[in-house]
Amino acid sequence: MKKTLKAHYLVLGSVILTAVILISAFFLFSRSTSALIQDNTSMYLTENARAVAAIFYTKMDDQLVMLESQVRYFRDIDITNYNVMKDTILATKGIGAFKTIGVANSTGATINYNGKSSGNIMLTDYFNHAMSGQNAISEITYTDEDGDEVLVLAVPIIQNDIPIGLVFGTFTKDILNSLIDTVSFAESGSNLLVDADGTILARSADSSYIEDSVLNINEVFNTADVSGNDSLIYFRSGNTDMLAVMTPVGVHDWNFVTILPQSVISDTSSRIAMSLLKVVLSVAVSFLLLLASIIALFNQLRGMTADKERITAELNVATKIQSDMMPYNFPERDDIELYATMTPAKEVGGDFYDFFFIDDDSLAMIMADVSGKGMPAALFMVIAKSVLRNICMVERNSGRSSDGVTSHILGVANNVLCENNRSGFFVTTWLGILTISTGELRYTNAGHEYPALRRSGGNYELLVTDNCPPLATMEDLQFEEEYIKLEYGDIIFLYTDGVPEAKNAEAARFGTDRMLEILNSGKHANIVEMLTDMKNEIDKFTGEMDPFDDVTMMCMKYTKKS
Amino acid sequence: MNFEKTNGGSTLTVELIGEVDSMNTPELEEKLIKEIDGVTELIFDLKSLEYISSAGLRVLLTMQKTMKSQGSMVIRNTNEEVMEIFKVTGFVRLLNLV
Repeated sequence: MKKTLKAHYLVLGSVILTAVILISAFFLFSRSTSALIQDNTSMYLTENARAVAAIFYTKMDDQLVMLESQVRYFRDIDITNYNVMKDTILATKGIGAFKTIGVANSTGATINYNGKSSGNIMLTDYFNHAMSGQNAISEITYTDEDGDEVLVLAVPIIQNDIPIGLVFGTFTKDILNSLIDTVSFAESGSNLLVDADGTILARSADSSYIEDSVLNINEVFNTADVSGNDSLIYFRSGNTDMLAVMTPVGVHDWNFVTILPQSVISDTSSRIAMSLLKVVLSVAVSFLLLLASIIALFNQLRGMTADKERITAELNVATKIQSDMMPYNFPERDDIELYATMTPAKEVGGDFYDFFFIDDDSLAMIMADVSGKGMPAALFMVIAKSVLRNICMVERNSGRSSDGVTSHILGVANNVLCENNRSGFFVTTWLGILTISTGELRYTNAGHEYPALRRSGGNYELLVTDNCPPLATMEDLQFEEEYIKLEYGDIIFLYTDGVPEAKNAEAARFGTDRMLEILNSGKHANIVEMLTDMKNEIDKFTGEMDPFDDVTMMCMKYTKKS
Repeated sequence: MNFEKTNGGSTLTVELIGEVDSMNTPELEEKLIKEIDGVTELIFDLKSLEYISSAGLRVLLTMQKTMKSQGSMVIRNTNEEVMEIFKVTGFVRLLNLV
């Protein structure tokens, strides 16, 4: 019970431990995953912003190159003459993505290829920049002749190493916006082009994260720092946490801005966390299944152990029945010494010994062995023992003469035991009745081992007789009684086949000769010592081998009454 | 142990070899029960038998009881060692030794 309880704690403990490990693993992993994703996403966004900025720069450069190609029309003409300049531009066609292309001379006067004029541009930044001999992109947007906000790209017209005018092209916001679209590849983000002050110059088509009404990015950024290097800006727009990556495009101090809601990151995190949760759950389920199988197996094992214990208990009952049936109150008299031992085998056999006084002068001694083992043999032994004792006691009052009493008793017992003996048990039985006053020993051997008899002053010798069959073999058997007269000091040693047939690991048997040798060794002070020594010798002989059969011995010494 | 059937199955000769004890008697008994149907003459040949325990004796006795109603049982070639066992156990008086 204690063990079972321990096992329950163990199971409960391992379940809790596993749960704790899984849960902590889940949280640790999902936290580090979240951080990792954030890092990765930021890195990706920054890389993306840089790439987009570089592409934007190249595109702008492409447009400038296109304007340069227009410059060739004005290298050899006198553009101080407005009409010459106008005729030349009207002969050209539009090029690139520009809304309009125009030309200006050093006075700032302009004429476009569609015949309109953009007015005088002398005060614009791009005019000044171009007139210094360099390609220019306007730093801010200008309102053109149609009222459109336009960005202006300009390249100088150079004659004799001196800038004498410029060719310019305009980008409306729509054109800029589409330019942003063609260069952006950040998914689900809003892309903006902002100038140094944060004014939004262009925005991608999907710019839902920034309201169209927002004209300056600083209106939504909670931080004033919108310039400089690649930077991550976290801000709140309405109720949404946003993330912006800002990177310079290499034109003026403009920046390219990619804006994403932070939920894109946390969504990815939670998607991964979800997958992780699935993994954790399946691990947990597998673990529980495993645990369940272990418990099932454990229970099965316990059942098997219980079965085994039950069988062992049954055998123990058989052993107890057997032991309890044996008399152990040895007579304390001065005319006989009597001692007996029985050691049941692991799987109990059916040995038994018995002794009792039929009357004051008659001692009955029985040594018997039921064929077979286990509970059935033990039960048959109980029956056989009771039958024998009862018939002996009945016989006392029969008035029959002493001669033939033992063979008669066995004859009656045999027929009783033959009834209802379907299992085919039989009982080898030695029955002797000693008349104590005279030393007359009448005995009948029904298929039992020959006892060893020691005549006073002599050696133990087998009391060989022409044995009758065992009890319960066949009905109406005739038994023959033997008779000897004991002298004072004579000893009779009775035993079952467990003694001579004890086997060692080499399958050798203890043997009757060895038994007689020990009996005759002369080293035993009394019969108790002799039986104990005999048992020890048998144990020594069999060594590690489990005793296969019961070992039963009984010894009686006939002594002179003091 | 060897089992041999002759005379169209009416004679069964069983040769017992080595030691017959409680370890191998269940197998012997099982085989005998399977083969005994229709047998009128059961012969145990013991020339190679070295030892027989009370469990083995019980089988011989059971078979003898069975054969009493359907024919006969004899025991052949009993050697000295086994004969000694038959003598001690008194089986020499029960069995039909030839």
